[in-house]
Amino acid sequence: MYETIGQQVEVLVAFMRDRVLPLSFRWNNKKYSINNVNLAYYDREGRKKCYHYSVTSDGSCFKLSFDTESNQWFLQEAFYAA
Amino acid sequence: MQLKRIILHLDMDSFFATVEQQANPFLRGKPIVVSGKEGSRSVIVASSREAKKWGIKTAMLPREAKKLCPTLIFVEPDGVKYEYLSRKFIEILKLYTDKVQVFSIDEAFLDLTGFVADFNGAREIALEIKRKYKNELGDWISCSVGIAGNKLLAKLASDLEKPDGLVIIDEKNKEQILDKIKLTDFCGIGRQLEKRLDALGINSVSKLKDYPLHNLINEFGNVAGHRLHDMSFGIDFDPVVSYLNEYEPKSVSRAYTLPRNTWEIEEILAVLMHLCEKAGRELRRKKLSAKTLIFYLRYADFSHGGARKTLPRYVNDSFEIYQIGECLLKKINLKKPVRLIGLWLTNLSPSSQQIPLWREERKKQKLIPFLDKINDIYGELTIKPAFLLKLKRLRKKVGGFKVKD
Repeated sequence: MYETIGQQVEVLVAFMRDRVLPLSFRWNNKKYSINNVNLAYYDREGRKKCYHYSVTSDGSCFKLSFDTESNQWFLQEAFYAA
Repeated sequence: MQLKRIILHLDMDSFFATVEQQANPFLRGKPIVVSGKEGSRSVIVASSREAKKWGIKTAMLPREAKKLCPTLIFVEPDGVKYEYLSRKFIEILKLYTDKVQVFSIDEAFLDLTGFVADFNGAREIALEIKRKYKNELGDWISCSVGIAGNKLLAKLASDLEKPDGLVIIDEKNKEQILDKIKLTDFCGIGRQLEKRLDALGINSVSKLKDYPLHNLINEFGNVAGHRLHDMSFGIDFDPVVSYLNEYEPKSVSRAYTLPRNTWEIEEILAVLMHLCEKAGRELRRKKLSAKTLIFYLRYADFSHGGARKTLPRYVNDSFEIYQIGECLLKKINLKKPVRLIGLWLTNLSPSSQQIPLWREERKKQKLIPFLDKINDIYGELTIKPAFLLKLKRLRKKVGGFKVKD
C-alpha cells in the first residue's frame, strides 16, 4: 500500500513561531493541499539534518522530507487508502 | 527517616505500530504489524492493539501472522521515527526528575521519591505526562503507567491495564494483585525459569511464597533464590539508575539476517566486515575496547554455530576484529546454508591510550580517529573498507535501533 516515490517536489510552507508547517505540495502537475501533519521528526546523516513530515491530503497519506543541506523537498512515500 | 519510595514505570503502548498509525491515520483501528514485507524472511517486530486481538505476537513469522489475520497490514520498520519519538518520550520525563532510567526504547522508570508526597501526587504527574505525550508526540500515541513502591511492582502495574492504563499498587491492593497474576507477569521470570519453577511444583505466586527460601537458594543460587523469594512478596530494592549515572554497557552486538540463505563464505565475510565496522564504531564512540569476540551463525534450520576468542589484549579497531572473525569463520566447515550472521563483543574495558610498539600499528591508531570523524560529518560508511564495495544487497542500517546516542 506504500509506494516509494523519492522525487523532488515543490512545497509551500508556513513558518510558525516554533515549527515549520507544510501547507501544500505540487507533484506530477497536481497540487495537493495538506489537511493535517500527523507526525514531524528529523534525523541526521553525519552533519546533514533532514526533517520528515507525515501528512494527509484528502484520501491519501504522504511522507515529505526537507534536506537542510541542499534545501530541497522530496516526496518519499505515498499511501493511498483503499 | 527513610522516605517511602514512589516509582513510576511508563510503557509506550504497542510503540512501533502505534507510531506508524500516528504517521498514517488510514492505518488506525486496523490490525497492522511492523515487519519486513509480507512473505519476507523477517519476523514481526511489533503489532498494533488491533492485531494483538487476533493473537499476533512479536517474533512470529509473517506467514503465521497472516494465517491468523487475513486482513493484516504489513508496514516496514522505520527506525528513524522510533528513535526520534523515543528521545522525545525520555526528554519529557526528564522535565520532572533526573532520576529517569531508560529501560528500553519504549519503557522507562522514574523515581519520584521526595518530589511528590504520596501516590496521589505521583498519579497527578502521570496524568500530566500522558497529556504531554498526546500533545507533543501525537494524539494516537498512548502510554500505560504503573505506580508502586518499587520497580518490580511498578512494572507489573503498568502491564495490568493496557492500553492507556494507570494502575497504582499500594499496600492495600498488593496482596490481591499478587494472588491473581501469573509468575511470568513478573519482569525477570521468562519461559525457561517458569519451566524450572514448575518442575519444583511452583506454578503460582502463592506457591512461590510458600516455598522454603533455602530450597530456592539450593536450586537457583544465592542471588536468584533470594530474588525469587522477594518477588513473591512484592519486595524489590533495585534502585532507579539515573541516566546521569548509567552503567557501562556489558557488550556490543550486531546481527544481520540475509535476504536469502547462503553457502558462500565471501558473502558471509562481507556481511561480517559490515557488522565489524558498525560494532567497532560503537565501541570507539563509547571509548571502549573488547577482549572477547563471539562470531555466530544461524543456519537455515535455525540451529547455531560459530566461534569465540578471548584475546590477550583489548581491541576496538573494526578491521582487526574482522581479521580475527575471518580467521575463525574460515575454519568452519559449512554443512548447512547460513541465514544470519552475528557479532557479539564482550568483556569490555575503557580504551587505554597505550602507544603500540610497531610503527604500522601506531600509524593505524592515528588514522582511525580521522576516519571516524569523516563518517561523523558525512554519515556512516562514507569512508569504508574497499571490501564492502562488493556488497550491494546489505541495508545501510543493520542490527536494531539505538535507544539513545
